Amino acid sequence: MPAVTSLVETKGLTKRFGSFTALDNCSFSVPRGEICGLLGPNGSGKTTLLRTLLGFMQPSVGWAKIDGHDCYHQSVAAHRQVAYLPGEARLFRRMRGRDVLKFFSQLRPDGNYPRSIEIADRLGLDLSRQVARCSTGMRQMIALSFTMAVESPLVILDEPTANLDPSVRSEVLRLVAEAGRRGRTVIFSSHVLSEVERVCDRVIMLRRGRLVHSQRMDALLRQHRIKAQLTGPLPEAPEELADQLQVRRVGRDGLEIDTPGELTALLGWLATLPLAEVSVSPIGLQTVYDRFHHDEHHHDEQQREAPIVEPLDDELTIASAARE
Amino acid sequence: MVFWTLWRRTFRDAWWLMLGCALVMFVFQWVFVWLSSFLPSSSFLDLVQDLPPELQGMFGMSLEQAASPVGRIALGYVDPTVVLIASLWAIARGSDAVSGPLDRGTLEMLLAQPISRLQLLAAHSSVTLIGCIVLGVALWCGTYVGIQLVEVEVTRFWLLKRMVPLTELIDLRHFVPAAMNVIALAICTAGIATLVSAADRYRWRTVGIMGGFCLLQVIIKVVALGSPGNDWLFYFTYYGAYWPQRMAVEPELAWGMLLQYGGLLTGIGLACTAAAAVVFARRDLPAPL
Repeated sequence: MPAVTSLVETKGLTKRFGSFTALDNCSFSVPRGEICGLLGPNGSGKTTLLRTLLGFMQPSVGWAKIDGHDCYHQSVAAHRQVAYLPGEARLFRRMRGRDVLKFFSQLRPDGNYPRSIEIADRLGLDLSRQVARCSTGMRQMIALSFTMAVESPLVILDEPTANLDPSVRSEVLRLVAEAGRRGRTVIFSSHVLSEVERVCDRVIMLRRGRLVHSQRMDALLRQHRIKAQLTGPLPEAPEELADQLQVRRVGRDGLEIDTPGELTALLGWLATLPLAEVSVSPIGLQTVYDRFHHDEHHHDEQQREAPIVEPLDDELTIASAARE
Repeated sequence: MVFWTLWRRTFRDAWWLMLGCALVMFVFQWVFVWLSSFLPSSSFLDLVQDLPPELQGMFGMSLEQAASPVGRIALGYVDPTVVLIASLWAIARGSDAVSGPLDRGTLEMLLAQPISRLQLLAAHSSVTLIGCIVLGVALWCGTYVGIQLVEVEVTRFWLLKRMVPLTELIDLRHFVPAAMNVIALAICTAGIATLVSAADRYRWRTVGIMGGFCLLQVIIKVVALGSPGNDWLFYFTYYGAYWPQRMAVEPELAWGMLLQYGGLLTGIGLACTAAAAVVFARRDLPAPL
């Protein structure tokens, strides 16, 4: 089996603006071929992280590398590996859509004008229109067309589906998935969890500038939440299950049990419990996201009590784990 | 290849402004030459001799020099219209170097490509430099066409008056250093504007800063010209190195003056552009608002 190498790697990446720390000691890596989702609420540092990766900002501390090239000091070499779509693409207003595609294709050795035209057609774009007369969504689609056409190893997409209508969103997600199948690495920042669930292999979550969690999507799909009403006293979980389960009482009679994977062993124990109205559903990304972001104050309390970071794979090291 | 793609794009962006400014320079100087032909030297001298000494100093040359055919045409080179157009080009282009595309949000799209910041600034500054040269050439061409088409009345053999083409009285080469001084002024202003732009985030603010700065510099020069005892003020304005009219009327000293004044202005402009490159290369680029 070939060794997995990282295309993107950061170490202790920190960005401060005066006394405000936008990015705090972030260390992570993204292996080649992975579609990595980047999640976090507004102001959590997602865009700062992406802009630091693109060399637009000099890290206050730490470094970031793309294919071994320092993102700030060797930005041109790093950019040869990257196609980037900003959250809101601003293009040359006097150019027509077709000219924009041609211009950006010519700016890169790996630019592919015919392919960008093909993608624009898939998105249903009118390329004869001047950029100034295009809606925000149409400008985003123009930018998407040349970004996705570039044959670079890494694609960075900052909220690519913002401002797009639902049918175009689906097409964009298909493009992202295709990029992944072709072996390209994608960093996909979004607020739309369902989209991230659909295309990403892994998500990393940011909160107040810190990387707080990494979640492999295949592991998440194996996780389930069991909800039920208790009709009697709840006995202790068997020893072999106890450390895998998260059991919570909800209200007076409610019960929630989160399980990390295999249900077979659990079902036997469940059958012995005094339960009614039992439902089993997969844990979605929303649940994981809410653990870190839904109630920040509550989360701060939790953080003091227990570590919140559980690295789920070897490639990830989250040095910003809050263990204060 | 990548650089030329970028350069062509930058040139296309600047083309209409360059064309407009050059056309205004050309037409203005042509009309200026034509209008100045209506006023005979003697009448001009009579007119200006009655002015207070403070205003006489504004010509930047002796009254006899100003009243000569060359002097009257050379006054077009220090006319506010010429200074304004040169400054307009320089500030418009200089402010568009960094803070312009940063403000519009197009900078991050460009810099996300394998293009260095220095390449981007070099493409922009080279187009600005070409525009400065084009403006100077347009001004000289306006002078050339005006002189070719205008005749003036001259008195010869005591009372004999006759019309002669201006070309017989004026050597057009005398206006070459003057035009080059205008180019140097535009380069200087553009360089300073580029430096401010490299450190700034909003183009409107860069334009405001530069507009105010240029106005202040002009005021300092006007005060210095109007009060002969305050020559030291020339050291506080880069317009103190802008003497195209003197270069035209003193051709024997013109190239030396151009070397001194034009060199100084060009040097300031290039030094500021180099400083802008350093500032731009080191600064953070915030997300567009």
